[in-house]
Amino acid sequence: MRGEGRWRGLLLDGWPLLLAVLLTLPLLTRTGHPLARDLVFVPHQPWTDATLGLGGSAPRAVPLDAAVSLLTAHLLDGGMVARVSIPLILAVAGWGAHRLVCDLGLVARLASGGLAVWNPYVVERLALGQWALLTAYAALPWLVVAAHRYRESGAIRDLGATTGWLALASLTPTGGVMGGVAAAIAGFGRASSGVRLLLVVLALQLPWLVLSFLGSASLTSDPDGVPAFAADAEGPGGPLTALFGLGGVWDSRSVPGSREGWWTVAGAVVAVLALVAGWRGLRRVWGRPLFTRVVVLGGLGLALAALPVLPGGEALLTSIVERVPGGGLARDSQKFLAPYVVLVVAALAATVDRVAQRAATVGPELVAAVALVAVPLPLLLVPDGTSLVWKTVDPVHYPSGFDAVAEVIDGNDRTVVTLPWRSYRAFSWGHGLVSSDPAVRWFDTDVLVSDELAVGSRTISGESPRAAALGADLVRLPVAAALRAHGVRWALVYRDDPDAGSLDLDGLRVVYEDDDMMLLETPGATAGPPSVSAARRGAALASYGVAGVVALAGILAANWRRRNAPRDRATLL
Amino acid sequence: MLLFVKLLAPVLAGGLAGAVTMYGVVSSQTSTPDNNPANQQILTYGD
Repeated sequence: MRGEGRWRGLLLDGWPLLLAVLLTLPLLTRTGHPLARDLVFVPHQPWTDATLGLGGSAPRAVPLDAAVSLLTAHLLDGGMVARVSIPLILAVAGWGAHRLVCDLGLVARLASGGLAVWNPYVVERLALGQWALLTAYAALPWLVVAAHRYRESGAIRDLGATTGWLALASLTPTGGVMGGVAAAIAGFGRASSGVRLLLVVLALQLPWLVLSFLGSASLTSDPDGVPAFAADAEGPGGPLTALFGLGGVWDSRSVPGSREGWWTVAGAVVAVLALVAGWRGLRRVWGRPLFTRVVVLGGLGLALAALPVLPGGEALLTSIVERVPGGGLARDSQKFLAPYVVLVVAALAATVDRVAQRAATVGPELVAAVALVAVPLPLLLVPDGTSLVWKTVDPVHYPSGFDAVAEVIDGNDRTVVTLPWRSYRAFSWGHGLVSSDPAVRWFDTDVLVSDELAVGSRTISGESPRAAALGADLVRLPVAAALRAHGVRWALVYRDDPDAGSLDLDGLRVVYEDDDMMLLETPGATAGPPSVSAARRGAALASYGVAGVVALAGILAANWRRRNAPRDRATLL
Repeated sequence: MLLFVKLLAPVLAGGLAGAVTMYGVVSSQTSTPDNNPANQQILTYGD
C-alpha cells in the first residue's frame, strides 16, 4: 500500500509539474533572460529606492521588486530565478488544487491539478507576462485550506500556514488584496482568532499601503483605464461567456487563437456544467462552512471581474478608480477572477469524481475511458495554450551596451531617462513583443521613464507627476532643454526605436554609443533626483521589516510541529 | 454492451481527445491572419 501511495503521490504532483514545464518550455531550454510584456528579468536587479517603492511611480511591484532584488542583486542570476520560480508557481497552483479536493479519487484530483495549471486564466495572464499575479493565484488553494483549518482549530501553526501563503500572495498589492480577502472569508470565525488573522492580513499589506501614502505618485488613477482594461469578449457570447469559461482578459494579443471562436463557448459550458454537477459533491467533501465560503469567494471574484461589463458597473468602477485612494487596483478587474477559477477547478474535480464513481460500477475499463477524457481536458479546452505563452517566456540576450552604460552611470546619484519617451518598447534584439523597459531594473541609479500606457487607441495617464511633467516638456521643448529643466543628467536612447531618428539631440554630449543604444550627458544638469527623507525611508523600511518578520514567524510556526492529522486522505479509484 | 464498455469506449474517448486536440493545435497555428503583422510595429501595451 505504501508503494501504491507513493506512486499516486508522484502522479498527482507530477502531472501539474509536467504541464507547468510544457507551458514554460522555452524558458527552460534556452539561455538568456525573459523580456516580454510585463515579464522582465535582468541579470542582477540592484537594491535602490525604486526597488523599495520609494521612486516616483505607483508601488505596483511592492514588495515584489525588493524580493527579486534581494535574490539577484549579489546572489543569483535573474534568469535562474525566473527559470525556477515561474514553472514552480504554476506547479504549486496544481499541487494546491488537487490537495483542495484530497477526499476525491485519483482521476478527479488529476483533473483538478491539471486544470489549475492549464486554463485560459493562467494562459492569458502568463502571455501578458504577469507571473506575480499568478503567484497569488497559486497560493489561493493553499491559503483557503490553511485559513479554514485555523478557523476550525484556532491553532497557531494553522495561523502560521495562513500567514506563509498570504505572504506569497502579497508579493504584489493586487495579490495581497485577493489573498487577504480569501484569508478573511475562509478563516474568519471566533472573534479572538479573527482579530489575530486580521492583524496578520494588515501586517503583510503594510509595505504597499505605507508606500502608497508616503510616495509622490497620485493615489488615484486615470479613469480611462476602466474601459481599456475591462474584461473582453473572446468569441461568440460576449465578455460574460469568456469570463464564465475562465478567460476574458482585456488584451486581445494575449488570447490564444482557439479562444477566438466557438471553443470559448464550449469552455464556458464545461465550466458551468462542472459547477452544476459538482455542487453537491463539493458540499459533501468540504462540509457546508468551507463550501459556502469558497463559493462566496469565487462568486465575488466573478462579480468583480464582470463589473465593468454589467449595467452601471463601468460608471461605478470609474468613480472608484477616480476618487478612492488605491482604487486603481480594481481597474483591470478581470485579474480578480482567480478565486472563481479555483472554484471551477474544484467543481470539475467533484464532477469527474461523480462520473468516475458511476463508471466504476460498470467496470474499470470505463473508469479508464473517463480518465482519458478528464485528465487531458485542460489541453482540450486550450489546445494552443503554448502558442502565445512560449513567445512571452522565450528568453532574450541583452546587448552588452547595458553593462557599458551601467559602468558610466551606476552609483553617481543622478537621473537617467530612456528615450524616445514611451513606457513599453519593442527591441530589435528581442522577439518583437513589447516589453516594460529593462533599464528600470538594470541601473543602480534613478531611472525616470514614461508611465503612460498606450492601450489600443487610448492613452492611460500614469500616476507619477514627475514623469508627466518631463513627458510634457519633451513634447514642447528640445530634448536638451527639457532634460536640463528637470535636472536630468543622462539620456539613454534606444536606437532601434522607430522614433529615435526624429529626436533632436543637439546640445547633448555623447558618452557611449553602439548599434543598439546611445548614452548622452546633459551639460549643466547638476541636480540629483528628488531626495528621499529619512522619515520616509525609515517608515518604508519599518513596513518591510514588520511584514518580513510576520511572514517569517508564520512560516516557522507552520513548520514548528508536523500536523498529526493525515494530510492526504484520498481514495484510489 | 460489454464489448462497447471494455473495448470501444476507451478507444473512442482516446481518439476523440486526440482528434480535438490536434484539430485545435493545427487550426490555431495555421490560420491566415487578416493582415500581415510584420507590416506594422506594435508599440502599445495591449489592445
